[in-house]
Amino acid sequence: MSFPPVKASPTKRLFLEALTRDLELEDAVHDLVDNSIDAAKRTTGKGAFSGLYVKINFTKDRFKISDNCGGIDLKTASEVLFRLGRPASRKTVAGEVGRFGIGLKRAIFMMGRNALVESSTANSHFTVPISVNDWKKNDDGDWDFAFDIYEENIPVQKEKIGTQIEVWNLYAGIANGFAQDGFVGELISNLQKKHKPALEKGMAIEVQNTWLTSEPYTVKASDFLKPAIRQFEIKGNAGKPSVSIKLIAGVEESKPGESGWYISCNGRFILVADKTPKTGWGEVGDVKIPRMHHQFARFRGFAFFDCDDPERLPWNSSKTGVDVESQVYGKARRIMIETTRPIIDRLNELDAESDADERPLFDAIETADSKSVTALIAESAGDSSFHWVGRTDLNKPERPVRISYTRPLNKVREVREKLDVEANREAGEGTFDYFYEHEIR
Amino acid sequence: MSTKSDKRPSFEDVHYLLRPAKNVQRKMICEALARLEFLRPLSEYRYIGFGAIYFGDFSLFHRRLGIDKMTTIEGNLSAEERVRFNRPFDCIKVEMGLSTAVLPNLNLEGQPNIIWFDYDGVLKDYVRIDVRALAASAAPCSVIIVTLDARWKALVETVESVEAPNPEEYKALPLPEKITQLTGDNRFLKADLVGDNLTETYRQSMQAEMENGISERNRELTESGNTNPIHFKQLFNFRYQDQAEMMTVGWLIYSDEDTPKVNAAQFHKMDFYCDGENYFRIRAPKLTFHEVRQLNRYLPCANPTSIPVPVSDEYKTDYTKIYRYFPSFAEADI
Repeated sequence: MSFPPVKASPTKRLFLEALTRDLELEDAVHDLVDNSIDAAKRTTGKGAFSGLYVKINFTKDRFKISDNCGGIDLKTASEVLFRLGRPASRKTVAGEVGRFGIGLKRAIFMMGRNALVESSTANSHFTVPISVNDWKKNDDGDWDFAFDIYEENIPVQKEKIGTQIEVWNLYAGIANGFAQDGFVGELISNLQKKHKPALEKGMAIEVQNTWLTSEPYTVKASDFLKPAIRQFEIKGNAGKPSVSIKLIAGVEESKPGESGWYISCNGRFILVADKTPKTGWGEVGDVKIPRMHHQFARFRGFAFFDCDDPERLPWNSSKTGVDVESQVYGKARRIMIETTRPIIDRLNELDAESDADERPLFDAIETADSKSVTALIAESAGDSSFHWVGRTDLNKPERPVRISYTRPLNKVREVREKLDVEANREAGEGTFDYFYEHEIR
Repeated sequence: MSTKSDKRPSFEDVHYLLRPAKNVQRKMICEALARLEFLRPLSEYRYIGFGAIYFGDFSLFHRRLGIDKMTTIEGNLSAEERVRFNRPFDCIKVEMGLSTAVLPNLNLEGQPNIIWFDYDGVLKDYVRIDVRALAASAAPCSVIIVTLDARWKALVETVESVEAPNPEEYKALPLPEKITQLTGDNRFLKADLVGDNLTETYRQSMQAEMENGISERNRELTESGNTNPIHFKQLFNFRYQDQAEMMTVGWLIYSDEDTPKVNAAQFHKMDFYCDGENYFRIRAPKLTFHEVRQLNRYLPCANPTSIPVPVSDEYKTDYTKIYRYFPSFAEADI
């Protein structure tokens, strides 16, 4: 006696849902930019990205990203690009960001019902149109997409080399997302932060006709003030490549929003200005550094993880955060804590001198230059520890100091009227000047 | 918390010996370190300590063990000239800075090290950071030793003198929370810290960082296909009191393939070997030279109280445990 087979294969609809469920629209765009930057790495090796661009444009009806970063060859397109999940045989490119090979498909499926992927290399050209509805309708074993144009061994003009992806028939939620106030600003600012190393290497990124600029991340450096630099490698088993880790930690201007640790994997920042236990702050139970306080708003730490095999890097699958369980990160985090701890001590000392007449630590930081962290790492010969000694050589008797006190409102009001000023601060300054003029001089 | 008895004659309180218990401990540790020869030639070792301006440990280890690679770490930046001036031997390098900042520059992986951090205080978060860093990076066959102020009073004074960012808020915190912030270890939130439990909790807290550091490097070794994992064992757990009650804990780090050598060194045969919670208390009785000479003539001896010298049985027993290391100080023109 025979029964019909139990249908256990996942339907395409379920698959789509699972693939896009937790994806944020902005992260989908980041994934596509990652693909372009990976293509640029394939084209230039470790060299500069000058002349290469990624352009992103969207309306409520349509999304388009295009680049001139080398294009996708036919073999990759047919065997990898549209495959759901990446075959194990696929060789990764040194230092790739897109480790899961699902970014493109996921982004398309998330955004809309129709898409066109077109790419040209120096000697090939293809287009793949996608209609998600048609694809979904046919719920059988056929999961493939078809090429519309497939040209091999043809000469391609240099300006035509590159990839473009267009998605239209956007879902309502996506269209709203693109149209939302602040989305463009947020996207630009996050692309600037996350792709800072690529921007610094000369990649041009344009969003809605705005070119992104890259202000390099900096820390203060001088003879009196030197950041801590640690560089090490974590070896891989059985021919797996080493992970190279470069840490730099120091102090900068007091900006609570920018203080904390920054973590980059293969040139993409996955954590920015982090002040959580992930980077050692305020954790109890493990070795910890104190909770973030206002006086630590000058702290800056940067950790650059690089590996030819992106699988070894400590990022989570959506590349939006750090995998704290990874062995590579465990060691790095310990060393991050070690480099942070002495800086915290110094920042506490800086805080303690804020009411003093002499402020040697403050003078040291005020007279130090801000230097690019990548440049400082590149210039450093090996490891160095954090160094911050006070400057006592600056004789600054005219340095402004703050006086603060409170007095009853009615009296302060009278003083303001008498002095003919509006602000309480001006009333304070005026009475001080009056006293100085008549009693001291 | 004084252990003095009102009934004792006053001459017993006169410190005519210069920190004798610490002196005994130093010699005991030196004797233990001599056994490292079973693991690696002592000449390959480097000694790293906080020599300050006295360098007692440095002098002893250079003279007795022949170690000639030595580094002192000095955190008091204004003391540099005096520290350099007081170096007893030319082989002592001076590294200015806090241990946590200096350690990364010392290439701990490159050679076996004996590291003795005699912290001038109670357990703080950076002590644990240092212990973990040492456990994670010191070359196999290295020894890590930590000395802390073991007094409850010192701990309370330390947490109360913390300059917190929000003084009002900090002041209102319960003591266990303050201790937890100072040490960065939440075991202090619920630990019973009465009596010996305080030093035992310190030991456990540092032991946990040893374990964290060792397991971190073993994960790394496994990932890179290395099948020679790292182990550690505790060698020392001293308590002693010259003026303040102090504690010293020490561990040996070794690789799996070194195990037979570690066994051959027979650390467990040392009278003062302590591989866990049990500790060895050093009591240095205040004896005259004449008493010392007389006691020595009967030693070693299984039944010290029978020795006909007119000092208490307690003194006789204490002295018997440490007589080989007992200092004989005398004023000297040098």
